Amino acid sequence: MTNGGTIVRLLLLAALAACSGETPEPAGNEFRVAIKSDIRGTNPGVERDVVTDDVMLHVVEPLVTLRADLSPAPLLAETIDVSEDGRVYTFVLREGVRFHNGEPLTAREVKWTWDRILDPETGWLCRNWYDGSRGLAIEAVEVVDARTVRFRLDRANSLLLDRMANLQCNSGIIHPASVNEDGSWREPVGTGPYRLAEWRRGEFVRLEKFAAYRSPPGTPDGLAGERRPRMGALKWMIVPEPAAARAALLSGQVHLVYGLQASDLPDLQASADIRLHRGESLDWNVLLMQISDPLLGDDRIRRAVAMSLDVSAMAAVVTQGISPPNPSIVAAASRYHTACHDDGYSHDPTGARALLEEVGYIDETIVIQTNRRFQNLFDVALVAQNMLRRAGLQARLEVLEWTTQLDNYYNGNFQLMAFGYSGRTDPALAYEAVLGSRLEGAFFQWENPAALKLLDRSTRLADPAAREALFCEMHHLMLADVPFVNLFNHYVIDATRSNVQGYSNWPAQKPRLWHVELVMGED
Amino acid sequence: MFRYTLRRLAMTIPTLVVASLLVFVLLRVVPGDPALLIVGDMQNLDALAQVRREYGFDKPVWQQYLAWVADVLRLDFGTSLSNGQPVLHLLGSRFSVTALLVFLSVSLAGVLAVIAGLIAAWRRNTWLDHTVVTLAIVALSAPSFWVALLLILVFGVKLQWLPTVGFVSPLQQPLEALRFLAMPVAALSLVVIGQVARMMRATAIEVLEQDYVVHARAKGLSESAVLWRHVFPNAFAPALTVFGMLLGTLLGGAAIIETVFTLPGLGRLLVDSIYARDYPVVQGIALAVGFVYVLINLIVDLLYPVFDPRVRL
Repeated sequence: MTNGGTIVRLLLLAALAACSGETPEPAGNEFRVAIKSDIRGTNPGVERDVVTDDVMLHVVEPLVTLRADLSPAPLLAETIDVSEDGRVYTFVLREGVRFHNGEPLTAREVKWTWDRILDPETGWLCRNWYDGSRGLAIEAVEVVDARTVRFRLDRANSLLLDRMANLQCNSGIIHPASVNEDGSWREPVGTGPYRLAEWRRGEFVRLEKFAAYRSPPGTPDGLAGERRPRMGALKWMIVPEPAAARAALLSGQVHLVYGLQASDLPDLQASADIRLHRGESLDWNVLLMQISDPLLGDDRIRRAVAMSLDVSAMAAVVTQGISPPNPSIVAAASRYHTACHDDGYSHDPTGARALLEEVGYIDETIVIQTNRRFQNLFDVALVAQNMLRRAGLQARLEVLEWTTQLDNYYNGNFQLMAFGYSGRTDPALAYEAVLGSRLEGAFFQWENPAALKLLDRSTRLADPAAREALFCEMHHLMLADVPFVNLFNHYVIDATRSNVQGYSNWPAQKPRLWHVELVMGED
Repeated sequence: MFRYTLRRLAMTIPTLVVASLLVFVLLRVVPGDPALLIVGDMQNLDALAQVRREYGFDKPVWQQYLAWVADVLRLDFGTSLSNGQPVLHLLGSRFSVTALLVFLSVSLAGVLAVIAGLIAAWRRNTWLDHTVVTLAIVALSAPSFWVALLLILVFGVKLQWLPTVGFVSPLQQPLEALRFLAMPVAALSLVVIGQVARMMRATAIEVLEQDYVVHARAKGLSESAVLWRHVFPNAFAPALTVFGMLLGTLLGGAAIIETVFTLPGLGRLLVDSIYARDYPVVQGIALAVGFVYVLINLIVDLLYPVFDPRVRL
């Protein structure tokens, strides 16, 4: 009896402790999404990762956003005027936009948000985009009148709007009520179609429809155009295990699982209750080569590696036919991706062998680093190993934990590495990720003064045709140096229940759940 | 007994110091910079330096350790690098979920395993015994994640009787909580059932051969009275040690079940935090689990004399 009583007391204690005392959430009109991890926080651009960005995109809105062709489009702005010298940007705000606390959006909040972004104390992760260290500095943000705000730059720069619309560094306009009196973060008071209702850490994030939301005009186009939230609530449920996420979708417990691996397809294709959405993303997969390595420092070895790879076959295997090869950093979906960017290394194992002979290569083993967290990167490494061996290069896989691999990437501690970059909307932003002085950072994979000059010019030019020519020239310089081998844009595979309407994926991958609704007959 | 308890509790201090030092050093030896994960692939070296400064990662490891110990002595375990939550708060909320899962599993498994073990011993070498032994071996051999996935497939996907992911607090919605916990508890119980049933059977067989059991039967006691009054208490004492060890292990390591069923428990938090190099959380969990492990073993030792009066503390 004593022991039974002890167990009962322990159970009661545990049950009491497990109770958070919060009211149960209403189930109706709720759209449920499986996400791989919890969000890092609710402070846009400060506490971020991909999942956090996806959620916060529905809560806060920047002045400009992206169209489907990745060009910037007004969002909170109604019009954007650029001065003749390209140094002054004037934004007129849309009328009738309100924050989640009911306050109207004015130029004051825009200036307050941007002053906060530019303040080093805020810890905004991409502040270096606007402080001059990457060629562009915002000198002042000025309130002209209640609806007009002006940005003064230190020099003409065509990337300002692209950076403002960037998906990783969310420059969403927030109300000062988002922070406490001491400046510390409280909660996001944005203007988005949904507002944060509850964040139960490790379990879910719940957003509720913002009744006073004022949609931008126009046909939906990427993240731009009309936004009409249809669902009463969005529940982002944390399901880290892919098999559990698939099971939750198949059982109808969630309506959407996004960012699936190609290996997940067989489970889902067989079900009539599931609709699959497939396409190419902006993210690009690449085989990095360490130029400071004694062996790979020789450009003939790097070229031999490039010639060993049958990228078409690799893309077909790894992406299950979803993405074709893309030898360029410029995403296939970009308006700057022209025929010039289809030029790449030809698959020529015989030529590769001849180059190796010329160098006097004698079976030194080259290590390819990869990981199992991203199945596509593991597959890339595996296929590459096989292709290198066929061309006479001894290659060995080193499978690391992703965090370790990321560490090695930053420190340049690798020979070959299967790596993936998250998509950049403008080619200049993509080149910025790989091109630079290795003295500044070992993560810069390509060091070429001529290319750096072209990159700098591309940020000053506004004419799309002139920029297109520059990017083509840079592409050919890159092919000549062989700093790495661009493989293909990563695929995007999402799956919804068949009763979900209004969902589609796009190269930028971000779910746009203000378009979705559930039709009758389920859930 | 009071002095014994105090002495055992005092012994936890060096244990925890060594455990915390090991975890602290090992975490920093393992490659992977948490600041990199926070900054991501934005190639911003200034932000990287700022994050390292902010969290003190730019200081020597021994300085970081001493600073952490000083904070822990003030009951400040720091804040999570992943979501900014105070570690102590995280530990409390996550431990309660794990505790509920583990105590339900161990209780359910305990009752079933003890009964099964006793019956198997009582009916030794009969089909009943063979069935119990075979099922126990199957339960022991089946990996818990495989059992979990099978349960999800059958009861979640095919039959759609039970939810496959998530957690509901039992005081909030008791019946719904049971539905959410049914599969995780079943999957975790299997591990315990296998181990305890075999242990119980083995010790019960030994006890059944003792003179006092023969004497009890000779007195004319019914078989159930012999089993429950004489065999069970004597056979249960060794099993209690196994229970204690299992409780300690599961409280810190139900990670697989928690991950598969998406339960916000301590084990899943530990795994996620290791991947995220969330140093303060991993260090906090190591301390908490170490303390719980020692505490449970102490409770088991204190309970031992209840079942075996020959033992004196």
